[in-house]
Amino acid sequence: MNSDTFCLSRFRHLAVKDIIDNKKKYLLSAATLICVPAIITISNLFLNQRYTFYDEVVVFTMILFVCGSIWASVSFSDLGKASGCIELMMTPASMLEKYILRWIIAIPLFLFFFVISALVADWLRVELIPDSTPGHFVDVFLYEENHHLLSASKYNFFHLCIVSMFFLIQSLFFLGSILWKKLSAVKTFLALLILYAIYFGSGVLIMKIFMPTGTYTVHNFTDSAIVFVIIPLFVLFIYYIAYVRFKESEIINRW
Amino acid sequence: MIKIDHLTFSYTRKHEPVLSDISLSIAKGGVYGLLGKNGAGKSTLLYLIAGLLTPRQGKVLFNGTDTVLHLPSTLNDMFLIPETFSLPATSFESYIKANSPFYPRFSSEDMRRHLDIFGMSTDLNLSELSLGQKKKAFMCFALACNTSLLLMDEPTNGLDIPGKSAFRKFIASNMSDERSIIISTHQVRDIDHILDHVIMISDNGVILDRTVYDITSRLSFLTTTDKTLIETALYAQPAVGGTSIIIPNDNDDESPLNLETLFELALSSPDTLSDIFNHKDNNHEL
Repeated sequence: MNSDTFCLSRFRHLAVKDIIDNKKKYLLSAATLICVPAIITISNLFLNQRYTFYDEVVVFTMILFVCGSIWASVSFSDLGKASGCIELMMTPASMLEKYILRWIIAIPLFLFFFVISALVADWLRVELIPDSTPGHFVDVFLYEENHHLLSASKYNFFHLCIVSMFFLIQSLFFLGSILWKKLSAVKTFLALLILYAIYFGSGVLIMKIFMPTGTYTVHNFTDSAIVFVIIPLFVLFIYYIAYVRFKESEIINRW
Repeated sequence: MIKIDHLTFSYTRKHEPVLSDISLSIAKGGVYGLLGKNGAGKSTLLYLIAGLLTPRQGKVLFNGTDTVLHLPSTLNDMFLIPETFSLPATSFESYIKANSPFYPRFSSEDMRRHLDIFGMSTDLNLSELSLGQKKKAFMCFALACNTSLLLMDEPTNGLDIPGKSAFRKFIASNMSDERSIIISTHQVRDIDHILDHVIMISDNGVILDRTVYDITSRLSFLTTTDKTLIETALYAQPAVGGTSIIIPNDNDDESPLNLETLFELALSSPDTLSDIFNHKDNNHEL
């Protein structure tokens, strides 16, 4: 890989520049992300004294999807203004370096702050409701007793599906942030809604045409293949498409 | 240094091209003025040179590399000062620390010298500066990067009168054979004394692409009250103290370039201008 494609020292300078330029924005975003689950947890604790860790996981999963999508959808928001676009594109770093930095901020960094926010919220649950279940600070990766989230146990397959779906949806919002520089989250959401409606509608239509009466069964043999193979490959493909589109960026929006 | 080869660009496929079949060469060393009416495509051409827009046809090569590729080795040797820009809400020192590592020839000493010209220091908070002050700080940083190519879009917009005078001094003192500066502007009076080369574009493409020496060796720019001269002039317009005219320079006289009247002549009679330069070129070849 030649130095015009990727250079570690230049990538480091790019990361330092991004932190210096945007430190207030990142601090505010991180604080908001940490506070949102905490505030929701405290509200639920006052409304429902039986609020448990398991209720918490449901709430966190919803926050993960919503906040993760919004966080990813603003990854390239500065491309929406000519001045921001010029600044980004004229910085002497390769498009690959600029893309990788944005990806790191959108996904790993978001997950890091999200884990911290989950730990803070769970600690609040234990401190404010001592007789909550379980009555101790829980390892965020341990969902059920003796079953670790990251194990391949079938009892946790559902959780891995959730994780898989999260990465899929977040990658789509990441792609959306490059396609639509303004109101990216809304436009991506609408696009996904329309695509799902077309997918669902065409499925129903095909079933009505080819099997107007009678029943049918759907084999589950592809579930593992979908979660462990198809979705991860599709996510990587979406990231690749996002990179190709980013490489072709201009200071005007032709879409 | 820069080769623009049959460049055509339009903002959308439905609209007419803003630039059509433009070919230019920009050599190393010199201050180029890029002039034209509003909407002629001056800023568009600058952005195409910087690789910020993709042409419909043609290429822009900077030292042999297509600028659309956005290679770091190209970007670290050019700097663009756009008409509107944003600076982060940090101290100027932080901004310099964050951005200077990308430019291998950045010089802190040059930075201090440039700031002295504008009467500024590095001890500034960028968020507290006015537009004019931000522009001055940005220009100081741009020149301190010592890139071979500096692109400036309407650089004197937002500058006060002392600022414009400092800008001219600033540009003149930083010229070298290793650097080219392209200034796109319609404020011709702010830059006419610092230019080495004039490029004028209109809806019909490039209508003038000549060095200042070429122009002033072929044309004389005078302010006169002589009616005979006025009647036979290539172009005449009222001015303070008489009439500003342009006449052929048949006696090799020296006269300062008047960009405003030259611009009006180029727009009103492009064929006249073309004939003068082609005729002189042909005579020179004979």
